[in-house]
This record gives sequence, structure tokens and C-alpha cells, in this order.
Amino acid sequence: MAASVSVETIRAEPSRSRATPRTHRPALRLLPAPTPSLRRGPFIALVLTLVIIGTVGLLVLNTVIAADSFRVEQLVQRNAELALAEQELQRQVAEGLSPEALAEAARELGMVPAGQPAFVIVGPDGAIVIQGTPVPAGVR
Amino acid sequence: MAVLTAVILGRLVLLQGLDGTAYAAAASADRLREDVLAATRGQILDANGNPMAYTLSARKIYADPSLIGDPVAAATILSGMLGAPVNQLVDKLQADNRYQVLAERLEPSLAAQVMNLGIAGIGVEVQPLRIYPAGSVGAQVVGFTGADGSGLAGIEQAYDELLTGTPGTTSYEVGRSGAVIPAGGRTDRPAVPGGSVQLTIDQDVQFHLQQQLDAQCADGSTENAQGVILDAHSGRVLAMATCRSFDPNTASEADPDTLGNGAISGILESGSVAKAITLSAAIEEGIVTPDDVRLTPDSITVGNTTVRDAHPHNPINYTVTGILAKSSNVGTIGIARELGNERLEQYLRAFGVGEPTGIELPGESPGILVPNQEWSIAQSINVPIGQGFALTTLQMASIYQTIANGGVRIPPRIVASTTAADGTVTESAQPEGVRVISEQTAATMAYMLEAVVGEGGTALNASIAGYRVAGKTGTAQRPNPACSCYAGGGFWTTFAGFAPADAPRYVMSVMLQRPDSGVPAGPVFKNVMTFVLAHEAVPPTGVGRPEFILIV
Repeated sequence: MAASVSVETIRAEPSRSRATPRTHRPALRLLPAPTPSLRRGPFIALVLTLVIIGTVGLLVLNTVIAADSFRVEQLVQRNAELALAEQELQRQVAEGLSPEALAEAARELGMVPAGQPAFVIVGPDGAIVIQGTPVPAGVR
Repeated sequence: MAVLTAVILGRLVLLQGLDGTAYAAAASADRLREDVLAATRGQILDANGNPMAYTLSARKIYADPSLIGDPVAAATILSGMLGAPVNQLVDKLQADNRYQVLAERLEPSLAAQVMNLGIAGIGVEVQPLRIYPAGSVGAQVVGFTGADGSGLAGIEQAYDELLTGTPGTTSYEVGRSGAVIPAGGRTDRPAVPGGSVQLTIDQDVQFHLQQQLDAQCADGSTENAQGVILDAHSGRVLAMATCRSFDPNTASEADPDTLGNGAISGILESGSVAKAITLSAAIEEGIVTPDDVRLTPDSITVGNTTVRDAHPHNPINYTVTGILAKSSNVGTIGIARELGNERLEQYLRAFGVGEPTGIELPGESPGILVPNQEWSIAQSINVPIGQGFALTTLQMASIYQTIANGGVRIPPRIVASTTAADGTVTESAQPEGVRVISEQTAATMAYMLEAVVGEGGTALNASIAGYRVAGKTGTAQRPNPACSCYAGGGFWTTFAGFAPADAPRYVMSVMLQRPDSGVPAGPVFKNVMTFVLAHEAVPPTGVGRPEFILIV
């Protein structure tokens, strides 16, 4: 169809251009219609491969993302658990460090407040001076 | 047809062109949800970085009674875990509303166990919980927070804005059902957590002071006891306490009388402790020297007011040091009359009486000191011996800090630094000192005050073996609020002093409020100062206490 149209068009043209002499017109003949390509097979294979690779790739990616998101969720949860555990431990430490708790723990161990210390002052020449009188613990 | 087109076109212009933005905003507002992200409240730390207040995330367990199938069974299971009586829980689970709080301030792990039971109608909420690990130690300084988490007293109140931080918001788009639109816009403005406040308080010293004051109040007749310890050179507060503290973890259940910080909000008449001001003024003004001799009878009458010494005696030739060491009222008033009311008031004010110290705590009292022009005759002879004007226990310590620091008063401070959420540390600047007396006069006063503590003085009970101590005892009558007179008001016994006397490191003031004047404050000073010197590893100076001539 396309070929015939083009032939007609070509044929019709000279009648419109009067300036061109008739004798110079080349001989025209119909071209055979283009034969359909016989090399379709590789193209289909290529497209199919691409489709399969794409589909499988998408599947794998989806799976990985889903697995990762599970893992993220697990880690977030674990993180929250650890934060809470840390909070509870810190609370215990802070309570254990409070003067009242320390005093109580020391009392339970049978400890008594220290007596007055003496101070050993080492002079620049190495001479030792003891200042103060040490008082044994428990004596006030 | 043309009219219809015009109407439609007009409407289109109106909708898209003129009202467009408003409609778009309304639509987006309809989709947008905004949640508030709470900011974690900052910490309050002691001088060594021990937490005195911090916030953790606790849990609240609530029930929706309408969803509870079997209240009795649920209550039985929950009772053991929540530590609440079964019948009380049953009542709550049968209540005629849809929100009943079953337990608060729970450890998250316990709340998780409760939720794992899977009882329908039981829910859990996150609840920020303010923890005060030191309990009652320093509670009156640290303060406490209310149910809404805002600071209601002490540092919690004074630094509320810094500690609170800035809540953030998260806004996101939701569909009609309320589900989040994943690809919708989302803007987060994260919460900025509160900053922290580091105090100059040492928790251990604070604990020891509190114990000693509580021991005083435990005798059944001591109504109040207060103490303040300052660093002699920086004016920083090492400890500050009033007997019978409270546990800020359960502040709402505490006796309201114990919540205040009496050492800065309560006022007292200091008694003879204030003689240090009178004598500082007289020495600075060149009226007396420590060795001047004054023939001192045991009473003095001005107008129709008579003031006596504590014990009757024949006229004695006291040195000025002796007048202070023996706490002679008559001798002190004699010197004060040479000084005059105007100059005495000047020095009282220079030592900080009558104006707040400006410490970073709410509710500070300036004390009471009326201008000398308004003093009655009785007042003008009572002020020199510490009656007729009032000050706080903190101001009392500040007076002795001035003497210990070579005559320069550094207004006391209790906040060492603040740290913003981004980690920026702001060290508190030391307030500018006020030169009250010369260095020479301060040294003279330290020498004279040492005569008070030890052999021959009135405060043998405040002396610390191995150390040189300077200080002064006091006893003052307490006005009776019922009659605005002194009768039946009871007494304040006081002590203020510092150690070591010849190289001052720490200053302490003590006040006991009692129906009688029988219990001196000196021993409290001794016990706490002994601990402070050992705790802060202050060696004795190794120089012996000088000989004092008190009587010639």
C-alpha cells in the first residue's frame, strides 16, 4: 500500500513541473515489498530474558527489603529493650551511690565512720612532718 | 448560554484564583496530624557529678472497665504484679467509666510483663518519671516537680525553663481512616531535651549535715535546726539543710512544713554571732584594738532598757578580745555606742544584712533591718548584740565568710554550671566581691574569734582537736508570733565560724530553735566541720593556737 502511494506520488509529480523535459525522466519500476525479517528469534529471547531478569530481580529486591525491614524492626525493638535495661541499671547505680544507701550498706557491713586522720607532710627536702593526731575509728 | 458560561468561568476564577490557597490549606490541614514529642527534663547534679534528680521513662497501667470480661479474675492476677489489694482493683475494674489508672511509676519491664498477660481492656502508657536518687538529701535545695512535670520548688523551680527543654512536633498526612499516607509529607521538629544544672553541693557533706540537724530535731524539743556550709574564698555553698527534710520522690505526700528551704527563707535573730559585725566595725573605724582594756560591769542601762551579761559578775577589766571571747553584752554595747547607730547600720548592710544574697534559689528572704533613724533606744542597744534585726542562716554564714576571706564578701552561690542540650557548658561566674573590712581588720577578727573557740572562750564545745577554729556562739530570744513580744517565743541558739582559723577553708553557720536556750549549736558545728575537713582533706596548719589575754 505504502509502495503504491509513493509510486503514484512520484508519477504525478512530473505533470506539475512543467519546466522539466520529458526525455530526462528515469525509467520507473515497482520495488518488491520488503521481506519480513527472519532474525526475530534473538530479539524475543532478549526481551524475555530482560523480563525474567527484571521480575526475578524485583522479587529478590523485594525480599531483601522485606527481610531488612524485619531486621530493622528487630534491631529497633532490641535497641529499645537495651535502652530500658540500661535505664533500670542506671537507676540502681544512682540509688546505690546515694549517701543514704552507702551509709546503710556500710552499716550492714559493720563499718563505722572514720576517725580524724593525721596528715603526713613531705617537705621539699624530703623531711616528714606529721600534722594532726589520728583518732581511731568509732572514737568520737 | 453565554450567561451560563460566564457564571461557570466566574466561579472557576473565584475558586482557583482567589480562594484557592485557603481551600488548599484547609485540605492539607484536614490531612495533617501533629503529635507533640515530649522533651526529656534535664538532670540536676551535685558538685561531683552524682545525679540528684533525673528523668526516666516509666509506665502507667490503666484499664477500660467496659472491656474487662471478668473483673475478679483480672484483679486477682494483677494484684500480685501491681502490689495493690484485690478488692481495690476489683472496684476500679468495675467502675462506671472508661479510664481507670491501676498503677503508676512502674518499671518498664514490669509493665511489659503485665501487658504480656494479654488481658483485654488493660493498657499501658509511657509516663516520664522524675527520680531523686539521693532521696531526702538536699531535697530542699533541689526541690521537686508537680504532676505536670514542671518544677515547683528549689532548683527545679528556679531553672524550670532550662530543665524543661523544648517539646518537638511531628506532623504527617493521614487518610480518611486515620492511617498514615506513606508517601505523604512528613515534617519532624525533634524535641530539644532540657539542659542540666550542676550544683556546688557535695552530696556527702549534705548528707552528714542533714543527719546532724535531724539528730538535733529528734530530741523532741528542738523545733528547727538549720545549717549552711560555704567555701571560705569562693562563697560557694557546700551544703545547706534544714532539719526534717522530705523525700521528693513522693513530694505530694510530704508534710508541707518540710518542703521549704528554711536556711534561705526563714529568718532568725542571730544573737551574739552578730557581735563580730559590731567589733569588725569598731576595729575598722579605729575605735578599739584587740588589746584595749574596758572596765565592764554586768549590766548597762540606756533610757529604761537594761541589758545584762549572761552571768552576773563584778566589773571586770576585759580586753576587747575578752569581751568577744566571753561574749559580754555590756562590753559590746559600750563599744557600739562609741561607733554610733549610723555606722553600725552601714556595716550591717555591708555584711549583707537586709538584702537578699541573690542565691539561685526561689523564696529567699532579705532579712529585716530597719534604718537606724527608726531604731528605738531599746533597739539601738540590742542591735549590736544581734537582737532587733533578723537574717537568714545563709546570711549568717556569709558574714563569717567575709571575715574568713580577708574582708571581702562573696555573695554565696549554689549553681556551679549549667549545660545546654547541645553540650555547651556555662560556668557560673563568681559574683563580684564586696570589700567590707580591710584585710588587716579581717585578720584581727579571725584572731579574736579564735579566742572564743577553746580554753577561756564560750565555745570550747566547738573546738576540733588538731585544728584551729574561729567562731562565735549566739543565743537570741525568739519573738512570739502570738503576742508580738518575746515572752514564750523560745530561743535561737546559733554558731558561726570557720576552720582552719589561720588559713580558712570552710565557713559554717548553725541555728537551733528551741523553747529554752539550753542546747548550744557549737557541737553541731564541731561534728560537721570535723567531717568536712577530713572529707575535703584539709590538713591542720601545724601552727599552735596563740595565747589570748582576755582579762587584765
